[in-house]
Amino acid sequence: MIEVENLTKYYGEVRGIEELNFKVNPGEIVGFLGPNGSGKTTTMRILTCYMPATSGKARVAGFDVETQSMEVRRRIGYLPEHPPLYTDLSVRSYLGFVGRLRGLERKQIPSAIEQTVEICGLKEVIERPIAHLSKGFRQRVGLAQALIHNPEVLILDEPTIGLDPKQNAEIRQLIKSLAGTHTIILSTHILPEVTLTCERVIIIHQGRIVADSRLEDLTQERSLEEVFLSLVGFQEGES
Amino acid sequence: MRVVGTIFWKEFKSYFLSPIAYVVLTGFTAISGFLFYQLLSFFIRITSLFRGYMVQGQVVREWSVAEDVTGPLFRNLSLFLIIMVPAITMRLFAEEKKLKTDELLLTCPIRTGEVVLGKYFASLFLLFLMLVPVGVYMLLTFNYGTELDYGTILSGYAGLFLVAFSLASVGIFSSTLTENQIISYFVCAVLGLFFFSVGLASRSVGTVSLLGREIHLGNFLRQLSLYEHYNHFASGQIQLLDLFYFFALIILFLFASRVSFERARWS
Repeated sequence: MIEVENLTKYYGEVRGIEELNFKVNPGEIVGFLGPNGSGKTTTMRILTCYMPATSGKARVAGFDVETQSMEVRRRIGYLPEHPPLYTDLSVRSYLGFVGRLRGLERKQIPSAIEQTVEICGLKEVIERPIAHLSKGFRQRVGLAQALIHNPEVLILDEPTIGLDPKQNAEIRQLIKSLAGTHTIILSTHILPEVTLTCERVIIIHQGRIVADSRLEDLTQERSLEEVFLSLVGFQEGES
Repeated sequence: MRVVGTIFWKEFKSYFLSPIAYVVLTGFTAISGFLFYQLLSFFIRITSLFRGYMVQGQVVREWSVAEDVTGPLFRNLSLFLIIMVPAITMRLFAEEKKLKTDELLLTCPIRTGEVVLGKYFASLFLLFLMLVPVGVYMLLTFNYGTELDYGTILSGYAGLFLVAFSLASVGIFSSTLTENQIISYFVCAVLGLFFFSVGLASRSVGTVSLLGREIHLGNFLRQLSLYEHYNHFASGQIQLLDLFYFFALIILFLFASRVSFERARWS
Protein backbone atom coordinates (compact mmCIF):
# COMPACT_ATOMS: atom_id res chain seq x y z
CA MET A 1 0.00 0.00 0.00
CA ILE A 2 2.89 2.31 0.80
CA GLU A 3 6.22 1.87 -0.92
CA VAL A 4 9.19 4.07 -0.16
CA GLU A 5 12.42 3.84 -2.14
CA ASN A 6 15.62 5.70 -1.32
CA LEU A 7 13.63 8.61 0.04
CA THR A 8 15.89 11.53 0.95
CA LYS A 9 15.09 15.01 2.17
CA TYR A 10 17.52 17.81 2.89
CA TYR A 11 16.49 21.17 4.33
CA GLY A 12 19.19 23.23 2.72
CA GLU A 13 22.31 21.65 4.20
CA VAL A 14 20.50 19.97 7.05
CA ARG A 15 19.61 16.32 6.65
CA GLY A 16 15.99 15.43 7.31
CA ILE A 17 15.98 11.82 6.18
CA GLU A 18 18.37 9.81 4.07
CA GLU A 19 17.77 6.81 1.84
CA LEU A 20 14.67 5.46 3.52
CA ASN A 21 13.32 2.18 2.18
CA PHE A 22 10.25 0.44 3.50
CA LYS A 23 6.91 -1.06 2.55
CA VAL A 24 3.61 -1.18 4.32
CA ASN A 25 1.08 -3.84 3.34
CA PRO A 26 -2.67 -3.19 3.12
CA GLY A 27 -4.44 -3.36 6.46
CA GLU A 28 -1.26 -3.19 8.50
CA ILE A 29 -0.62 -0.90 11.48
CA VAL A 30 2.97 0.22 11.49
CA GLY A 31 4.56 2.14 14.34
CA PHE A 32 7.05 4.73 13.26
CA LEU A 33 9.42 5.08 16.14
CA GLY A 34 12.26 7.46 16.81
CA PRO A 35 13.59 10.16 19.07
CA ASN A 36 12.50 13.76 18.50
CA GLY A 37 14.05 15.19 15.36
CA SER A 38 14.80 11.82 13.84
CA GLY A 39 12.80 12.46 10.68
CA LYS A 40 9.39 10.95 11.47
CA THR A 41 7.42 14.09 10.66
CA THR A 42 9.52 14.72 7.56
CA THR A 43 8.69 11.28 6.19
CA MET A 44 5.01 11.71 6.92
CA ARG A 45 4.94 15.10 5.29
CA ILE A 46 6.41 13.67 2.13
CA LEU A 47 3.93 10.78 2.11
CA THR A 48 1.01 13.18 2.51
CA CYS A 49 2.28 15.40 -0.33
CA TYR A 50 2.83 18.35 1.99
CA MET A 51 6.32 18.77 0.60
CA PRO A 52 8.40 17.03 -2.04
CA ALA A 53 11.40 14.85 -1.29
CA THR A 54 14.86 15.91 -2.41
CA SER A 55 15.29 12.53 -4.11
CA GLY A 56 13.84 9.06 -4.09
CA LYS A 57 10.37 7.71 -4.72
CA ALA A 58 7.29 7.14 -2.62
CA ARG A 59 4.07 5.51 -3.73
CA VAL A 60 0.84 5.47 -1.80
CA ALA A 61 -2.01 3.19 -2.93
CA GLY A 62 -0.15 2.76 -6.19
CA PHE A 63 0.20 6.45 -6.95
CA ASP A 64 3.41 8.45 -6.95
CA VAL A 65 3.37 11.25 -4.35
CA GLU A 66 5.09 13.67 -6.65
CA THR A 67 3.55 13.10 -10.06
CA GLN A 68 0.08 11.88 -8.99
CA SER A 69 -0.22 13.94 -5.87
CA MET A 70 -3.97 14.63 -6.19
CA GLU A 71 -4.77 10.90 -6.37
CA VAL A 72 -2.63 10.25 -3.31
CA ARG A 73 -4.20 13.10 -1.36
CA ARG A 74 -7.67 11.75 -2.10
CA ARG A 75 -6.79 8.41 -0.52
CA ILE A 76 -5.01 9.64 2.57
CA GLY A 77 -6.21 10.76 5.96
CA TYR A 78 -3.63 12.78 7.83
CA LEU A 79 -3.44 13.87 11.43
CA PRO A 80 -0.46 16.22 11.77
CA GLU A 81 1.39 16.68 15.03
CA HIS A 82 -0.70 19.76 15.79
CA PRO A 83 -4.28 18.88 14.90
CA PRO A 84 -5.28 21.40 12.22
CA LEU A 85 -8.44 22.76 13.85
CA TYR A 86 -10.40 25.90 13.06
CA THR A 87 -11.27 26.79 16.61
CA ASP A 88 -14.11 29.16 15.75
CA LEU A 89 -16.13 26.48 13.95
CA SER A 90 -18.33 23.88 15.60
CA VAL A 91 -17.30 20.24 15.32
CA ARG A 92 -20.07 19.66 12.78
CA SER A 93 -19.20 22.52 10.46
CA TYR A 94 -15.50 21.77 10.76
CA LEU A 95 -15.95 18.13 9.73
CA GLY A 96 -18.29 19.20 6.94
CA PHE A 97 -15.68 21.66 5.69
CA VAL A 98 -12.89 19.08 5.67
CA GLY A 99 -15.20 16.53 4.05
CA ARG A 100 -15.89 18.91 1.18
CA LEU A 101 -12.19 19.68 0.76
CA ARG A 102 -11.41 15.97 0.74
CA GLY A 103 -13.75 15.57 -2.19
CA LEU A 104 -17.04 14.31 -0.69
CA GLU A 105 -20.25 15.31 -2.42
CA ARG A 106 -22.58 17.65 -0.59
CA LYS A 107 -25.19 14.96 -0.01
CA GLN A 108 -22.63 12.52 1.37
CA ILE A 109 -21.59 14.95 4.07
CA PRO A 110 -24.30 14.41 6.73
CA SER A 111 -23.90 10.63 6.76
CA ALA A 112 -20.10 10.92 6.72
CA ILE A 113 -20.23 13.24 9.73
CA GLU A 114 -22.65 10.92 11.50
CA GLN A 115 -20.42 7.89 11.03
CA THR A 116 -17.18 9.61 11.96
CA VAL A 117 -18.67 11.22 15.02
CA GLU A 118 -19.97 7.83 16.11
CA ILE A 119 -16.56 6.17 15.65
CA CYS A 120 -14.65 8.94 17.40
CA GLY A 121 -17.12 9.40 20.26
CA LEU A 122 -17.86 13.05 19.55
CA LYS A 123 -21.64 12.90 19.69
CA GLU A 124 -22.02 14.95 22.85
CA VAL A 125 -19.88 17.83 21.58
CA ILE A 126 -20.91 17.96 17.93
CA GLU A 127 -22.52 21.41 18.11
CA ARG A 128 -19.85 22.94 20.36
CA PRO A 129 -17.19 25.32 19.00
CA ILE A 130 -13.82 23.55 18.89
CA ALA A 131 -12.29 26.36 21.00
CA HIS A 132 -14.38 25.16 23.96
CA LEU A 133 -13.28 21.53 23.79
CA SER A 134 -10.78 19.79 26.06
CA LYS A 135 -7.49 18.55 24.69
CA GLY A 136 -8.75 14.98 24.52
CA PHE A 137 -11.77 15.97 22.46
CA ARG A 138 -9.67 18.14 20.19
CA GLN A 139 -7.38 15.23 19.47
CA ARG A 140 -10.42 13.16 18.60
CA VAL A 141 -11.71 15.87 16.30
CA GLY A 142 -8.29 15.78 14.66
CA LEU A 143 -8.66 12.06 14.16
CA ALA A 144 -12.23 12.48 12.91
CA GLN A 145 -10.95 14.98 10.38
CA ALA A 146 -8.52 12.36 9.06
CA LEU A 147 -11.30 9.76 8.82
CA ILE A 148 -14.13 11.79 7.36
CA HIS A 149 -13.63 10.64 3.77
CA ASN A 150 -13.00 7.02 4.80
CA PRO A 151 -9.46 6.93 3.36
CA GLU A 152 -7.56 3.77 2.54
CA VAL A 153 -4.44 5.06 4.24
CA LEU A 154 -4.15 6.83 7.59
CA ILE A 155 -1.07 8.74 8.59
CA LEU A 156 -1.07 9.80 12.22
CA ASP A 157 1.71 11.92 13.65
CA GLU A 158 1.87 11.38 17.41
CA PRO A 159 -1.87 10.83 17.81
CA THR A 160 -1.79 10.41 21.58
CA ILE A 161 0.63 13.13 22.61
CA GLY A 162 -0.47 15.12 25.64
CA LEU A 163 -3.45 12.97 26.52
CA ASP A 164 -4.24 11.51 29.91
CA PRO A 165 -4.06 7.72 30.34
CA LYS A 166 -7.77 7.22 29.88
CA GLN A 167 -7.98 9.30 26.72
CA ASN A 168 -4.83 7.58 25.57
CA ALA A 169 -6.41 4.18 25.93
CA GLU A 170 -9.53 5.35 24.12
CA ILE A 171 -7.62 6.68 21.13
CA ARG A 172 -5.52 3.52 21.04
CA GLN A 173 -8.63 1.38 20.99
CA LEU A 174 -10.04 3.54 18.24
CA ILE A 175 -6.92 3.14 16.11
CA LYS A 176 -6.88 -0.61 16.66
CA SER A 177 -10.48 -0.87 15.57
CA LEU A 178 -9.57 0.77 12.27
CA ALA A 179 -6.92 -1.82 11.43
CA GLY A 180 -7.72 -4.28 8.68
CA THR A 181 -9.92 -1.86 6.78
CA HIS A 182 -7.30 0.90 6.82
CA THR A 183 -3.56 0.91 6.37
CA ILE A 184 -2.10 2.92 9.21
CA ILE A 185 1.26 4.50 9.92
CA LEU A 186 1.51 6.15 13.30
CA SER A 187 4.51 7.86 14.74
CA THR A 188 5.30 8.12 18.38
CA HIS A 189 8.10 8.13 20.86
CA ILE A 190 6.00 6.57 23.58
CA LEU A 191 7.10 2.96 23.51
CA PRO A 192 4.33 1.17 25.40
CA GLU A 193 1.95 2.62 22.91
CA VAL A 194 3.61 0.79 20.06
CA THR A 195 3.49 -2.52 21.89
CA LEU A 196 -0.20 -2.04 22.46
CA THR A 197 -1.28 -0.97 18.99
CA CYS A 198 1.18 -1.94 16.28
CA GLU A 199 2.04 -5.16 14.56
CA ARG A 200 5.23 -3.88 13.08
CA VAL A 201 7.74 -1.18 13.99
CA ILE A 202 10.12 0.88 11.97
CA ILE A 203 12.73 2.57 14.11
CA ILE A 204 14.32 5.63 12.63
CA HIS A 205 17.32 7.47 14.01
CA GLN A 206 19.08 10.53 12.61
CA GLY A 207 17.21 10.23 9.36
CA ARG A 208 17.99 6.54 8.74
CA ILE A 209 16.07 3.34 9.37
CA VAL A 210 17.82 1.32 12.05
CA ALA A 211 15.22 -1.41 12.48
CA ASP A 212 12.21 -2.68 10.54
CA SER A 213 10.57 -5.85 11.75
CA ARG A 214 7.55 -7.45 13.36
CA LEU A 215 7.16 -6.47 16.97
CA GLU A 216 7.37 -10.08 18.22
CA ASP A 217 10.65 -10.66 16.43
CA LEU A 218 12.15 -7.49 17.78
CA THR A 219 11.16 -8.08 21.38
CA GLN A 220 11.97 -11.79 21.68
CA GLU A 221 14.99 -11.36 23.90
CA ARG A 222 14.78 -7.83 25.21
CA SER A 223 12.05 -5.33 25.92
CA LEU A 224 11.20 -2.80 23.24
CA GLU A 225 12.67 -0.06 25.37
CA GLU A 226 16.04 -1.79 25.56
CA VAL A 227 16.03 -2.47 21.84
CA PHE A 228 15.10 1.10 21.09
CA LEU A 229 17.70 2.64 23.37
CA SER A 230 20.49 0.49 22.03
CA LEU A 231 19.51 1.31 18.45
CA VAL A 232 19.51 5.04 19.02
CA GLY A 233 22.93 4.82 20.65
CA PHE A 234 22.17 5.13 24.32
CA GLN A 235 24.16 3.02 26.79
CA GLU A 236 22.95 2.35 30.29
CA GLY A 237 24.92 4.25 32.91
CA GLU A 238 26.20 6.68 30.35
CA SER A 239 24.26 9.87 31.07
CA MET B 1 -15.27 25.85 -8.37
CA ARG B 2 -16.56 23.50 -5.64
CA VAL B 3 -13.48 24.16 -3.53
CA VAL B 4 -13.64 27.91 -4.09
CA GLY B 5 -17.24 27.83 -2.85
CA THR B 6 -16.38 25.72 0.18
CA ILE B 7 -13.54 28.03 1.22
CA PHE B 8 -15.69 31.07 0.53
CA TRP B 9 -18.48 29.90 2.85
CA LYS B 10 -16.12 28.89 5.59
CA GLU B 11 -14.38 32.28 5.54
CA PHE B 12 -17.66 34.11 5.32
CA LYS B 13 -18.93 32.25 8.37
CA SER B 14 -15.69 32.97 10.23
CA TYR B 15 -16.07 36.69 9.55
CA PHE B 16 -19.40 36.76 11.31
CA LEU B 17 -18.37 34.39 14.10
CA SER B 18 -15.72 36.90 15.16
CA PRO B 19 -16.36 40.58 15.93
CA ILE B 20 -14.33 41.73 12.93
CA ALA B 21 -17.17 41.91 10.39
CA TYR B 22 -19.41 43.85 12.76
CA VAL B 23 -16.66 46.27 13.78
CA VAL B 24 -15.61 46.97 10.22
CA LEU B 25 -19.14 47.31 8.85
CA THR B 26 -20.31 49.56 11.67
CA GLY B 27 -17.14 51.65 11.70
CA PHE B 28 -17.11 52.26 7.99
CA THR B 29 -20.81 53.07 7.85
CA ALA B 30 -20.57 55.48 10.77
CA ILE B 31 -17.58 57.35 9.43
CA SER B 32 -18.70 57.44 5.82
CA GLY B 33 -22.14 58.57 6.99
CA PHE B 34 -20.66 61.34 9.07
CA LEU B 35 -18.48 62.47 6.17
CA PHE B 36 -21.43 62.42 3.80
CA TYR B 37 -23.61 64.38 6.19
CA GLN B 38 -20.97 67.07 6.63
CA LEU B 39 -20.40 67.46 2.91
CA LEU B 40 -24.10 67.52 2.12
CA SER B 41 -25.06 70.02 4.83
CA PHE B 42 -22.21 72.28 3.75
CA PHE B 43 -23.36 71.94 0.15
CA ILE B 44 -26.91 72.92 1.10
CA ARG B 45 -25.61 75.94 3.01
CA ILE B 46 -23.37 77.28 0.26
CA THR B 47 -25.90 76.70 -2.51
CA SER B 48 -28.37 78.89 -0.61
CA LEU B 49 -25.76 81.67 -0.36
CA PHE B 50 -23.97 81.69 -3.71
CA ARG B 51 -24.62 80.28 -7.12
CA GLY B 52 -21.15 78.93 -7.50
CA TYR B 53 -17.44 79.22 -6.98
CA MET B 54 -16.69 82.94 -7.28
CA VAL B 55 -13.62 84.90 -8.24
CA GLN B 56 -13.93 88.71 -7.93
CA GLY B 57 -17.72 88.62 -7.89
CA GLN B 58 -17.92 86.39 -10.96
CA VAL B 59 -19.23 82.83 -10.81
CA VAL B 60 -16.49 80.75 -12.43
CA ARG B 61 -18.03 77.35 -11.71
CA GLU B 62 -21.48 76.44 -10.51
CA TRP B 63 -21.90 74.14 -7.52
CA SER B 64 -22.56 70.56 -8.45
CA VAL B 65 -23.30 67.47 -6.41
CA ALA B 66 -20.78 65.44 -8.34
CA GLU B 67 -17.92 67.85 -7.73
CA ASP B 68 -18.76 69.18 -4.29
CA VAL B 69 -20.41 66.27 -2.50
CA THR B 70 -19.76 62.84 -3.96
CA GLY B 71 -16.35 63.67 -5.46
CA PRO B 72 -14.72 64.63 -2.14
CA LEU B 73 -16.66 61.87 -0.38
CA PHE B 74 -15.34 59.16 -2.67
CA ARG B 75 -11.79 60.50 -2.63
CA ASN B 76 -11.76 60.55 1.16
CA LEU B 77 -13.31 57.11 1.40
CA SER B 78 -10.74 55.68 -1.00
CA LEU B 79 -8.06 56.72 1.48
CA PHE B 80 -10.11 55.42 4.35
CA LEU B 81 -10.12 52.00 2.67
CA ILE B 82 -6.40 51.72 3.46
CA ILE B 83 -7.37 51.44 7.11
CA MET B 84 -10.37 49.16 6.64
CA VAL B 85 -9.28 46.63 4.02
CA PRO B 86 -6.25 45.23 5.90
CA ALA B 87 -8.51 44.63 8.91
CA ILE B 88 -10.62 42.38 6.71
CA THR B 89 -7.79 40.50 5.01
CA MET B 90 -5.16 40.25 7.75
CA ARG B 91 -6.55 37.05 9.23
CA LEU B 92 -7.11 35.07 6.06
CA PHE B 93 -3.78 33.29 5.73
CA ALA B 94 -1.98 34.40 8.91
CA GLU B 95 -4.52 32.47 10.95
CA GLU B 96 -3.95 29.31 8.90
CA LYS B 97 -0.30 29.44 9.79
CA LYS B 98 -0.95 30.15 13.41
CA LEU B 99 -3.47 27.30 13.82
CA LYS B 100 -1.27 25.06 11.61
CA THR B 101 -4.28 24.44 9.40
CA ASP B 102 -2.17 25.27 6.35
CA GLU B 103 -0.90 21.71 6.68
CA LEU B 104 -4.47 20.51 6.19
CA LEU B 105 -5.08 22.72 3.15
CA LEU B 106 -1.80 21.72 1.54
CA THR B 107 -2.50 18.00 1.93
CA CYS B 108 -6.10 18.07 0.69
CA PRO B 109 -6.79 17.18 -2.95
CA ILE B 110 -7.28 20.83 -3.88
CA ARG B 111 -5.28 23.46 -5.74
CA THR B 112 -3.70 26.33 -3.83
CA GLY B 113 -5.12 28.77 -6.36
CA GLU B 114 -8.62 27.70 -5.39
CA VAL B 115 -7.89 28.40 -1.74
CA VAL B 116 -6.60 31.88 -2.57
CA LEU B 117 -9.63 32.63 -4.75
CA GLY B 118 -12.11 31.38 -2.15
CA LYS B 119 -10.60 33.59 0.50
CA TYR B 120 -10.37 36.51 -1.89
CA PHE B 121 -14.04 36.25 -2.82
CA ALA B 122 -15.02 36.08 0.85
CA SER B 123 -13.18 39.33 1.53
CA LEU B 124 -14.75 40.89 -1.58
CA PHE B 125 -18.20 40.00 -0.35
CA LEU B 126 -17.59 41.67 2.99
CA LEU B 127 -16.19 44.75 1.20
CA PHE B 128 -19.26 44.76 -0.98
CA LEU B 129 -21.48 44.80 2.10
CA MET B 130 -19.33 47.57 3.53
CA LEU B 131 -19.71 49.76 0.46
CA VAL B 132 -23.46 49.26 -0.03
CA PRO B 133 -24.43 52.03 2.44
CA VAL B 134 -22.34 54.47 0.39
CA GLY B 135 -24.67 53.66 -2.49
CA VAL B 136 -27.59 54.66 -0.30
CA TYR B 137 -25.99 58.07 0.34
CA MET B 138 -25.56 58.42 -3.37
CA LEU B 139 -29.26 57.80 -3.93
CA LEU B 140 -30.00 60.51 -1.36
CA THR B 141 -27.98 63.05 -3.36
CA PHE B 142 -30.31 62.48 -6.29
CA ASN B 143 -32.80 64.66 -4.38
CA TYR B 144 -30.51 67.68 -4.60
CA GLY B 145 -30.13 69.59 -7.80
CA THR B 146 -32.04 68.92 -10.95
CA GLU B 147 -29.29 68.29 -13.42
CA LEU B 148 -27.09 65.73 -11.80
CA ASP B 149 -24.00 64.32 -13.40
CA TYR B 150 -25.04 60.71 -12.88
CA GLY B 151 -22.12 59.37 -14.90
CA THR B 152 -19.50 60.97 -12.69
CA ILE B 153 -21.23 59.92 -9.50
CA LEU B 154 -21.60 56.33 -10.64
CA SER B 155 -18.05 56.03 -11.93
CA GLY B 156 -16.71 57.41 -8.64
CA TYR B 157 -18.73 54.80 -6.77
CA ALA B 158 -17.64 51.97 -9.08
CA GLY B 159 -14.03 53.07 -8.70
CA LEU B 160 -14.34 52.78 -4.96
CA PHE B 161 -15.08 49.07 -5.40
CA LEU B 162 -12.05 48.63 -7.61
CA VAL B 163 -9.81 50.33 -5.04
CA ALA B 164 -11.22 48.13 -2.29
CA PHE B 165 -10.83 44.97 -4.37
CA SER B 166 -7.23 45.82 -5.32
CA LEU B 167 -6.30 46.54 -1.72
CA ALA B 168 -7.91 43.22 -0.73
CA SER B 169 -5.62 41.43 -3.13
CA VAL B 170 -2.62 43.23 -1.62
CA GLY B 171 -3.98 42.34 1.84
CA ILE B 172 -4.29 38.65 1.02
CA PHE B 173 -0.69 38.65 -0.13
CA SER B 174 0.43 40.39 3.07
CA SER B 175 -1.44 37.79 5.04
CA THR B 176 0.51 34.94 3.45
CA LEU B 177 3.80 36.44 4.62
CA THR B 178 3.41 35.97 8.34
CA GLU B 179 1.48 34.19 11.08
CA ASN B 180 1.10 37.46 12.95
CA GLN B 181 -2.07 39.33 12.03
CA ILE B 182 -0.73 42.68 13.22
CA ILE B 183 2.27 42.43 10.93
CA SER B 184 -0.02 41.34 8.13
CA TYR B 185 -2.21 44.40 8.76
CA PHE B 186 0.69 46.84 8.62
CA VAL B 187 2.34 45.31 5.58
CA CYS B 188 -0.93 45.76 3.71
CA ALA B 189 -1.49 49.30 5.05
CA VAL B 190 2.05 50.35 4.12
CA LEU B 191 1.80 48.82 0.64
CA GLY B 192 -1.57 50.54 0.27
CA LEU B 193 -0.11 53.89 1.29
CA PHE B 194 2.76 53.33 -1.11
CA PHE B 195 0.43 52.71 -4.02
CA PHE B 196 -1.62 55.75 -3.06
CA SER B 197 1.23 58.18 -2.59
CA VAL B 198 3.84 57.09 -5.11
CA GLY B 199 2.31 59.45 -7.66
CA LEU B 200 3.22 62.44 -5.50
CA ALA B 201 6.84 61.88 -6.36
CA SER B 202 6.14 62.33 -10.05
CA ARG B 203 6.30 66.10 -9.74
CA SER B 204 9.82 66.14 -8.41
CA VAL B 205 11.41 63.62 -10.73
CA GLY B 206 11.85 64.20 -14.39
CA THR B 207 13.49 62.04 -16.97
CA VAL B 208 16.37 59.79 -16.13
CA SER B 209 18.67 58.12 -18.53
CA LEU B 210 19.07 54.41 -18.15
CA LEU B 211 21.29 52.34 -20.43
CA GLY B 212 21.45 55.21 -22.86
CA ARG B 213 17.70 55.61 -23.01
CA GLU B 214 15.64 58.50 -21.74
CA ILE B 215 12.94 57.29 -19.40
CA HIS B 216 10.26 59.58 -18.09
CA LEU B 217 10.32 58.41 -14.49
CA GLY B 218 7.75 60.91 -13.29
CA ASN B 219 5.24 59.62 -15.77
CA PHE B 220 6.00 56.06 -14.79
CA LEU B 221 5.45 56.82 -11.10
CA ARG B 222 2.18 58.50 -11.89
CA GLN B 223 1.00 55.42 -13.77
CA LEU B 224 1.98 53.28 -10.79
CA SER B 225 -0.15 55.31 -8.43
CA LEU B 226 -3.48 53.89 -7.35
CA TYR B 227 -4.82 57.30 -6.42
CA GLU B 228 -3.98 58.70 -9.83
CA HIS B 229 -6.05 56.01 -11.51
CA TYR B 230 -8.83 56.31 -8.98
CA ASN B 231 -8.95 60.04 -9.58
CA HIS B 232 -9.99 59.37 -13.14
CA PHE B 233 -12.94 57.41 -11.84
CA ALA B 234 -13.86 60.06 -9.27
CA SER B 235 -13.87 62.77 -11.92
CA GLY B 236 -15.78 60.63 -14.40
CA GLN B 237 -12.99 60.19 -16.92
CA ILE B 238 -12.35 56.48 -17.01
CA GLN B 239 -9.80 55.22 -19.48
CA LEU B 240 -9.14 51.67 -20.48
CA LEU B 241 -5.71 51.99 -18.90
CA ASP B 242 -7.28 52.64 -15.49
CA LEU B 243 -9.31 49.45 -15.69
CA PHE B 244 -6.27 47.55 -16.85
CA TYR B 245 -4.26 48.94 -13.94
CA PHE B 246 -6.70 47.68 -11.32
CA PHE B 247 -7.10 44.23 -12.86
CA ALA B 248 -3.34 43.86 -13.27
CA LEU B 249 -2.79 44.80 -9.64
CA ILE B 250 -5.41 42.29 -8.45
CA ILE B 251 -4.07 39.43 -10.56
CA LEU B 252 -0.45 40.17 -9.70
CA PHE B 253 -1.01 40.05 -5.95
CA LEU B 254 -3.33 37.03 -6.07
CA PHE B 255 -0.72 35.16 -8.02
CA ALA B 256 1.98 36.26 -5.56
CA SER B 257 -0.25 35.03 -2.72
CA ARG B 258 -0.51 31.61 -4.29
CA VAL B 259 3.24 31.34 -4.66
CA SER B 260 3.82 32.64 -1.15
CA PHE B 261 1.33 30.24 0.43
CA GLU B 262 2.98 27.29 -1.31
CA ARG B 263 6.34 28.39 0.02
CA ALA B 264 5.79 26.02 2.97
CA ARG B 265 6.41 23.16 0.56
CA TRP B 266 9.85 24.41 -0.36
CA SER B 267 11.35 25.01 3.06
